[in-house]
Amino acid sequence: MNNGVQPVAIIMIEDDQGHARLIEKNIRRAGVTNEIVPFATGLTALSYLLGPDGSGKVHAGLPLLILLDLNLPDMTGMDILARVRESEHLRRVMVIVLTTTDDPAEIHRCYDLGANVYVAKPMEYEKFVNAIQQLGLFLSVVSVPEVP
Amino acid sequence: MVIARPAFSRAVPLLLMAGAILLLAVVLVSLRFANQTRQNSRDALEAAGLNDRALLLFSLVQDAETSQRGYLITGEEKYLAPFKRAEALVNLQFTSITSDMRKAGISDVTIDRLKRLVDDKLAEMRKTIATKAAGRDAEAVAIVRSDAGKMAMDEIREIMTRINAVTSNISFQKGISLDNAARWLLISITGGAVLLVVLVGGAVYLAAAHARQLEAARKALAEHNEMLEVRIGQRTQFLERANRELQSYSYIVGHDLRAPLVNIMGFTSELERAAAIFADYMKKPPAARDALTEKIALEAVDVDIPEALGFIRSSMRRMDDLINEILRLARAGSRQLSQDRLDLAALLAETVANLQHRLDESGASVVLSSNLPLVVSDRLALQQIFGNLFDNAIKYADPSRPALIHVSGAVIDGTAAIEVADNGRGIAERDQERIFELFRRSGLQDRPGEGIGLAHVRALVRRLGGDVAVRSVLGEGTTFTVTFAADIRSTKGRGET
Repeated sequence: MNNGVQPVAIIMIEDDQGHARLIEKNIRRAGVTNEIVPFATGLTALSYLLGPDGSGKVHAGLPLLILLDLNLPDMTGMDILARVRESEHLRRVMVIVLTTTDDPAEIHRCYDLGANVYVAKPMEYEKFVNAIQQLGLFLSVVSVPEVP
Repeated sequence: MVIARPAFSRAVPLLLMAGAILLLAVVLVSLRFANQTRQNSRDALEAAGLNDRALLLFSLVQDAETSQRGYLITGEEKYLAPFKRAEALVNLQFTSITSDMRKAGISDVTIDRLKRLVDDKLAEMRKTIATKAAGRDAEAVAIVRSDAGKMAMDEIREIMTRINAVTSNISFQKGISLDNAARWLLISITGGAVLLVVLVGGAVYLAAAHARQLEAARKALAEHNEMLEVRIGQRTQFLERANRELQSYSYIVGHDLRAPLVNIMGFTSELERAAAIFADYMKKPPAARDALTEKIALEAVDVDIPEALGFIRSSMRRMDDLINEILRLARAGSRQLSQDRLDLAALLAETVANLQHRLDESGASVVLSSNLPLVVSDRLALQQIFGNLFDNAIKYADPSRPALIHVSGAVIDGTAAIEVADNGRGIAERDQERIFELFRRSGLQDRPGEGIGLAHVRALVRRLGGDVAVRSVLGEGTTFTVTFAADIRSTKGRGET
């Protein structure tokens, strides 16, 4: 986007298809046209992110943004976050955590592990739409760091 | 725990008291015998003393006679000194032994007779001496020759012999009594000593026994305290575990039930939105409809509305499923457990038979160890536990090799420990606690499942008074160890669910 070379790819890790669809729809409505790569499980997402050599080198030079659901069937979003932050190539990738709880302890843990933004999925749909659309606006103005 | 037998501890002071009284009696008896001994020896000494003094009296009289004879023969005054001394002392000496002679049992007649004889003898000697002093020598000799003095002297000698015999007899008898009393004294002192030894020994033994009992009681109390602490620790662990489970349970309910709700809310709004678009289009006069608005309206009807309805329906179904599973788990926790006598070998063989078609399909096999134990537990719960574990082992077999499941077990200290080992794909270490949580799964999500089986297994095993643990190496296999009370009746009142 505004780095002008490569458009940001949005990696969406979300096991609930309904949530994934709603997020996608609302991001699109906010005017974000970037590619969205969806994953329903942690393992598939991690193998994509880290690549075959497990170092994340495959994404070198590409700007990435990860939308991460904490509550996955096969592992927790925290595990994925930790693995991403351990990777030399991915550790500065922007990670936005999306989850159904607003438990303060969990929010703190996410920030401690290096989440950039934490968005609770609110029960009221208007708020959810609002949050997602603000996220879309946010995505259209921030400068996403490139994977080194 | 025995602190002290009450009857025994009451008897201790009574026994000691009785012993003390007995000892006092022995001392009194000894005193009596000692007194007798003293009395007898004094009596014997007195009798001997009487004899001596009687002999002294006799020797005084003899001295007087010798002195008289000397004077009569020589006529010299110097021979009269012993006579004069005897004359002065005889009465005194006689008076001093009179009462003792009476005490020794010599009759008054004899005493009077002796007195008269001694007086007569002295009178005769005084007379001869006076006659000689007057110069009438022949008359003095004639008086001697009358034999009155000699006869008196002979009789005195005879009485003296009798006194000697009497006192000797008294001495002898008192000696025998003395010996007797001394012997009894010895016996009573010996008895006292023995009694003393017995008493002291008994007291020491009792004190030692009491000390031993106290020590044992103290030890038992300490052990009891320790046991109590261990028990409190166990209970606290159970409570902490229950508390943790409750927390994770509410977390799960919060997360997992909310997820479909968010969908329902979201797609309801999407539905409204699509309906509004279509309604707008329908309200427009046909002249105002262009190709773009028609495309949007058609998309709303053909794509958005069915999609929204589909998600709403599937979310509601998902919620229903989740609620049913939660209820099933809760019901498993409250079901009345039965106490069946079970041969685990038979029970597990039956469980395997129920899964036979799945085993045949996948080429898996189950090997049951030959020495599985007998237990008293709930049949249905055990079937569900092992059924779930076998099912998982078949489901998560390593595709490169047929599943092989080994079951072995034993009862140790009242706890049955059964191992179910497979050669499946294994579980990563970080997931080994997570797999027991409700709605959580591990590894590749390529098999159908809700993440309920192991949560159910854990809830059931804990109800049976045990727990389930896992050890696994990724790519090599997994071993579940199920422990539960070998006799479920021993867990009653443990308050576990």
